[in-house]
Amino acid sequence: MRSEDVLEFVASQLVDHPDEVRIEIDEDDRETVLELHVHDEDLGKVIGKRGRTAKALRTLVKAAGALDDENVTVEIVD
Amino acid sequence: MTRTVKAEGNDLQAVLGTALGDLLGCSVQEVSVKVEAPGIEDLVGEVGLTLTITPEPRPASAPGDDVDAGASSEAAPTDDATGDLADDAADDAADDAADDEVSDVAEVDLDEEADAAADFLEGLLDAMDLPGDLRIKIHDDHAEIEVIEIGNGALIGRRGQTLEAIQELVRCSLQRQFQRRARVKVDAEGYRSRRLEKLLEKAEEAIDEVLDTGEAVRLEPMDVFERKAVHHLVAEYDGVESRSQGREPARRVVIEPA
Repeated sequence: MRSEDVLEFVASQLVDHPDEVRIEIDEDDRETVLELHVHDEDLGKVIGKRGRTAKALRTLVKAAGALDDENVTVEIVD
Repeated sequence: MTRTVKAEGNDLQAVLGTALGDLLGCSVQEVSVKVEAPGIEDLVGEVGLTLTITPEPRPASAPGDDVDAGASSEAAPTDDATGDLADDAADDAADDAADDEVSDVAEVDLDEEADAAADFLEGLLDAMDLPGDLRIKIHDDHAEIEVIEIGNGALIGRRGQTLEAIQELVRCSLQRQFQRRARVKVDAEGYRSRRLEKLLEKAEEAIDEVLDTGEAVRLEPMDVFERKAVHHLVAEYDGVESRSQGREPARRVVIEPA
């Protein structure tokens, strides 16, 4: 799934603990929810100031999902 | 020396930006601002702030690492390490000055930033399973990476929003790796250069309008590179001047009669 690959790759570029980037997939027929788990210290890095990074992450992952006709949302789990 | 200025608004940072702009129209890039007052952003009503300003030499290791604001500033309650508060709070005062001095970034710094950004984009193309080649250009004050031959608009998106997201994520990733503000611009299939051309055409129309009517014109939100190009354009005309206003990503250039 390209959306998952993109989320995993990009998230690992943003954090200090790339080994602790983990994605859980919650799928039903309408949408796919990708839950992003990162190391506690990296939470701020994937969210960013005023949520700017998280917004960019969602936009890009959605675009990747659209390539596979998937409706994808990203949830950042703390 | 004591001077008093008054500024109003419902955003501490914007208000400070305005006040500081009034106070220090000249040498903003030589001071750094620190507000240490947790909770001050929640206050309602009139707040008196006493600011003590001490000149501080710019660090030699990072010559002008803000693209359109040479100043660094921090607002304590919301501050974090990404440094673009500097952009928000100080730009209003610093844009004009900072645009005049095209700061030279050490070429080796730009090279390593461009390489890292290229790695990021290669990885992204790979994860998205898209074809595409990278074209890298190193300019005086920034590097530019263009993804070409993708064959579709997948990296651009509606009104460029996917490309904008990629730019932001590349910026964050480089910031983490190099601990400084990176100056790498990302483009896909020439989208940004086409947009920049259109923006500059609109800016020229706006300049004419300001010269005709004597009234200020606000342009649409632009990113830091686009704002800089518009400031340069405005600087070529007599009778108009420009500044940036608002907060990323809705920061705009305002063109005013000089």
